[in-house]
Amino acid sequence: MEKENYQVKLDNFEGPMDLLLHLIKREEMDIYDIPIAKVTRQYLEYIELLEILDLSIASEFMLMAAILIQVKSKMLLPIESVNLEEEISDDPRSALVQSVMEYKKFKELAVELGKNREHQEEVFTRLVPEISLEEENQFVEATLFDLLSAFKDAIKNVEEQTFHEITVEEFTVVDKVREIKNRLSSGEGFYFSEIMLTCRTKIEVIVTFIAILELIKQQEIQIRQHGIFGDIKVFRLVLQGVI
Amino acid sequence: MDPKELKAIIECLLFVSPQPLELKRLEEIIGGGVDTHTIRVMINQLQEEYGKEDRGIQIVEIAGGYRMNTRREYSPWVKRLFNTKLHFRLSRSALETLSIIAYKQPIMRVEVEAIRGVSVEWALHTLLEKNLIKIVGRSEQPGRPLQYGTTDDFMVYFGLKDLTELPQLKEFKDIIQTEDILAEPIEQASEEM
Repeated sequence: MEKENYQVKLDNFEGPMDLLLHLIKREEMDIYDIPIAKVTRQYLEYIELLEILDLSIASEFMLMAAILIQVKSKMLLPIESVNLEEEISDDPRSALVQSVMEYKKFKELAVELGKNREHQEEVFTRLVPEISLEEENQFVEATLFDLLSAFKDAIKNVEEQTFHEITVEEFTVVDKVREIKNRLSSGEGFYFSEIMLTCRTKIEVIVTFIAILELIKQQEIQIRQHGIFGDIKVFRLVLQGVI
Repeated sequence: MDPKELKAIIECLLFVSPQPLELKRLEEIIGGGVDTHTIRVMINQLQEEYGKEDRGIQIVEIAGGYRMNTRREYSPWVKRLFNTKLHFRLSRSALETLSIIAYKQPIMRVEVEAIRGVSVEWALHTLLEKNLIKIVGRSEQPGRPLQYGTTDDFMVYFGLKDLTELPQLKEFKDIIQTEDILAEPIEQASEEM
């Protein structure tokens, strides 16, 4: 989005080609016989103007300026070649003219396509219902990093509520593994955030997390995520692939 | 199959499908040995009927298939039904980039940039995201750069039956002619010699 902002600033001139074309059109120059000195001067004036207005000038504009100056200086050089044929076909401007013409062609084609689109904008088709997919289909495979960032969030939440309480280490990975398996035995999955919310201490969060990792390793469960950065859901891994 | 029934089935399919349906696909769905030619005849009949009765809906050929859509003249009312904007607009730079890709596909990014004289990275990103273009392959050149081409959605977006329907410029001819003119002085010069 931000990138587009700078294009809006330059508004009429999308790029150096566009500026060049604009100058040629405005001065009603013959595109096949561009007065290169004149066009170069005007081009540089525009660049200066852009600088005064404090608009960021893309390097492409400078490149075109360099090309113009190069062409101009080439034309100033005395013709050394004896071969007349070669020298005429070697008009220093020809490459430039060709690229301007090519750009002009597509610029106009874009306008034509735009007209097509305007026509289509008045036409409507049936809309796809928004909830056309089953919920399960909207899950994407979650990676270990997704799980880690979810863990980071979970641990942050716990830190906020500290209790003055001395607890014996009552949570073990083995217990948590059993607990998770029990939870999943119904066949329903559960959300990662859900189970983390039931944890009261940091250590319980950690133990639960390790238990989940352990179960993934043992291929007892799989984790899926509601899109990127979405909540992670834990499923029992069924070999038949119900999900 | 009873032609009346067949026509009704086709009408149903065209009605429910949000995407244009290709004849091949219709043939698959309908089955029973009904060939694409018969299906096309039926669609043409339907098109005629819809047209004759001045219906608000028409059947059009688009992106290599057929679909139902509303008639243009009734768009003001459709727009009143939906407050939100249904369509997205492309920026000028995206549209220019897209037209270069459409006419010159398969094309590499550097080739597009050579024509536009500016970086097209952002435009490509937008076009890929809107599914108007896709990666169609890799060039044989060093580094095997990606090549881009247009999608079916592109044809739907611009209302084209196929790529041959891309608008042509009348100046195209002029350009070819002027290119000849450009070449002329050389010939003249050599004649003079």
